[in-house]
Amino acid sequence: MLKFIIIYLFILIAAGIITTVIHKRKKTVKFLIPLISIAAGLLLVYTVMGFRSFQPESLKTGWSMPLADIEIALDSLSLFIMVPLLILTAATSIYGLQYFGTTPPGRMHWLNFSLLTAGMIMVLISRNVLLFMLSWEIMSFSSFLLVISNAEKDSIRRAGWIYLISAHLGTAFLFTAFFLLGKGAGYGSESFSFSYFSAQNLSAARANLILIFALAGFGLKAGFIPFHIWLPLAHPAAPSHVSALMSGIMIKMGIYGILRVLSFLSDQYTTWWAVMFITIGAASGIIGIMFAIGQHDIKRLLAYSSVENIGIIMLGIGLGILGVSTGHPMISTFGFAGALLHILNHALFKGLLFLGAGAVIRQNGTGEIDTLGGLLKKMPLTGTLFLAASIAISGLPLFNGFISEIFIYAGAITGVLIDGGAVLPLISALIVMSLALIGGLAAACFAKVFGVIFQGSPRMSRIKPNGDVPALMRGGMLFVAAFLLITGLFSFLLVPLLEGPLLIMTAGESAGHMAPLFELSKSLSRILPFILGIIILFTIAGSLRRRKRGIRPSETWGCGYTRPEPSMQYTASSFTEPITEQFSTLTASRRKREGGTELFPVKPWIFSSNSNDWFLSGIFIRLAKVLDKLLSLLRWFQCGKAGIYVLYITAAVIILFIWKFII
Amino acid sequence: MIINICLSIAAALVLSPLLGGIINKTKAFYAGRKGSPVLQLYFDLFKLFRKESVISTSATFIFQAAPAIIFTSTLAATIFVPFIPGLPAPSFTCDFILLFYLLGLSRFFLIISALDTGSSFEGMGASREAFFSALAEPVTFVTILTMLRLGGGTSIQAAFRGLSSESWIIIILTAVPFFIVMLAENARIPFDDPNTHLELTMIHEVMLLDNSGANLALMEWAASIKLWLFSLIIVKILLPAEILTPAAYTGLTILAVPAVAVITGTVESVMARASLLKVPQLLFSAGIIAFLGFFLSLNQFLGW
Repeated sequence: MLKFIIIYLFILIAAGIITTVIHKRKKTVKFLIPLISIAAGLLLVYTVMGFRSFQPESLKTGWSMPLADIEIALDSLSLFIMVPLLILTAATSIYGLQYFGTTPPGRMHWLNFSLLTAGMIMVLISRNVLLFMLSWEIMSFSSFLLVISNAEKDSIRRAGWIYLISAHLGTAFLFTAFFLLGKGAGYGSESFSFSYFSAQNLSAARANLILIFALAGFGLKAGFIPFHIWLPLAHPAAPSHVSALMSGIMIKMGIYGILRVLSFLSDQYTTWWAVMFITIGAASGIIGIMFAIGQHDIKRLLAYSSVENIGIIMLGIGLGILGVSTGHPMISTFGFAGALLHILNHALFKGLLFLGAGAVIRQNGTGEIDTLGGLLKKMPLTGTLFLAASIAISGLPLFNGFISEIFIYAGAITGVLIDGGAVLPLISALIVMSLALIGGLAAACFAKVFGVIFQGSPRMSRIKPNGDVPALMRGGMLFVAAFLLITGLFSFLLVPLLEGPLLIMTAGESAGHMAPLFELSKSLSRILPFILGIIILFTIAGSLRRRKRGIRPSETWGCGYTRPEPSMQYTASSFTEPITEQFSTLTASRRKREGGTELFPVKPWIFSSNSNDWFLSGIFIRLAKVLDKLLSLLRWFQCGKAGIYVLYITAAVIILFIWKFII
Repeated sequence: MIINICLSIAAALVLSPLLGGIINKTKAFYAGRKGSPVLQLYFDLFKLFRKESVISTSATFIFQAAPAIIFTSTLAATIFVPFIPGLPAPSFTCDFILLFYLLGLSRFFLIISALDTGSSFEGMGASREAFFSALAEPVTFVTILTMLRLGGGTSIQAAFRGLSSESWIIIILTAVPFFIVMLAENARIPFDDPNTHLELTMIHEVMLLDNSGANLALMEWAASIKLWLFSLIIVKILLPAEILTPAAYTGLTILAVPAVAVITGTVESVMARASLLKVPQLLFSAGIIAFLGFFLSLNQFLGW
């Protein structure tokens, strides 16, 4: 399987380079990009078919880089995350082909796109720190270039800038974590090899330190609170198929990194790690969805909802660690299974939501929720698929989001029932409560998005929708949507894929405890298709009855008011006002009203409400200012004269010389 | 199992409209009125099913499909709460999550069908429903968790076994918040007034404003099935299944569910409706009571 993945990497990079060289010849580009997509599809089929009989593979050759070998391997954890990666690559590349319409993207666009995908695949298969970091940087940098594709706009340059800074801050943390991991091996390529990391015995103190650095480093990619600052800026800035790829799978590379580091430390799980993960998870989940509710731009909203979903994944991982550390393998099996499955599920529904949002933006020229309305009639397919993804992301049954959430619930409820100590049941109950709250708020949030964008009547006459999107874009969305439904209804097909990754995450403890997982997914797979069948039957019966008896169309009832205007409709802001008002301390939502105070205004008033992300301005920028002040004390060092710099170098060499040979 | 599922569904379908009638009769009694017949809701449903549907021109297919989806998913939720004990019931780990999430699915469609017409009134109701139910959900789950701890199992069937003489205080601390949640979820006073005639203050009723004919009938019926389901859960939490014979248990259930309706009617008669701004506080308090109950259920196993 590894060799097919390597072939695919070559296809990706070759296609990327060729499209850059000949980007004027649109016909060839139109041929090459679907090639990426079809190859991804084939690889996906091969991966899923071969998952059952999969054996870990590895490959190692020398490399002229110091401290590094070309060491790549494929285990079930990497392979599992490869599944959503391939699905999204297949969908987004054909979608992106038509997304730009008549104005083609820049010369480098498809090269960056294929480098991003290739970088992510390489992150998944590298087993050497330098190779891993190289792939990590390829991934970060190509996505940075994609984010700033419209660099004329000020806001986009700022978004790209913040993304670049946080990506590199993350890299610094990661290097520290990896140095700590390899410290015991001495100088040599072994100290940077993953196989050494997982074999060594670390002291508890070092393991704690490693985990904290890894959490900060990978967290800046995964985007949980408080490291989410770049997501709401970068996702709206990028073209929509890129946002789908970034939010769907690139931020999951952060989660993959955390899982990989945890697998090195899997014999050291402690309860306080679990508490840390669960706190981060609950905070990201609740604060993320609160911020999402307050947003007015659809892609910004989706970015915050990614923060929320990363929170759910962190809750699952925390529960898994908790199960291992307290010696309850069933809890850890359910917890990690939920987390892993949510990685897949979130990639699917968030990918679809971003593709849907892109379709809306492309056809209407804006993503401002409050200016849109009634699009379901103009864009029936996009609307229906967006609805499916909204149901899935709210964790409601029939679609895939429900399955991963019920796995985490199942783990937590198993924890609640365990006697002998109040800690485990209490933490588990808190997980259940936060999941329930997150689920409810997510449903409110996505009911708002769907309801305001796709239902009612158009809110502003200046926006003229252009009908539904062209065929390839529809195809991309339908492809993802099919997986939403299959995963939601027949989850037992997916549980075997979890078996291998679970063994890695629980250090083999999940081995005898897969049965409850199978049982739960089988019960669900027995009952959910049945319910869906009845719903469909009932709906068909209803529409037949309506056809037979006829319906009388009439205007929406306006309480006797005879001249209703589309602008009188409820907007997204008004829909969420009770929630943002109630939690205004958390989301720092501000309202502004400009205009008179009279009861019967002559001139129009201007009203606006906003949720300000205080994490960026309140924490990071303040921190950066303090740092800047401190470091400016050293600024005399940088005098700008070449002679002095040569002196520095000479002095450094002499000092090193003295240190090595004299002391 | 099939028999039990069919019985649950049949009971919910046939008996649920009764509860609304009983509540109204109770309220009429307190107000010194004669009140509408107990079977009024049946008459209403029957009449509505024969009337034509008027559908807003701005509505989409969602508005037309929603009543069927809401009705079916609410009905599907009832199969986990068997009406007659002793027969095998569908039960698996976390089945109650599916139960409440099916209700969540029906609520989601209720909300988007309300938004479908573009009416501000309906938007208002939808917004409140979405917010209050998000706050009510954690409370519901904590009460169920407490009962699961007492009953010792992960299926909701275990929650119905939790009653014992030592645990009465926990049961009270669980049943009271569950009852409050029931009032919130079913749009009763003090959360919502089903009899109000002002659209601006409604929650549930206003979301149905543009529905008519069979659509409205399905929505109303689904609402009464939901009320039936919550009442049945309360009754099953409070009835000692171990001691009673199946026949006595069934008989008591048939008597007790209307009793819950009478209590609801009494609450509605003696209380005023809370202002909308107070509703979150009310739900938070219910949550605190529920969490206290959960906390005590931990202590009991620590041996106090």
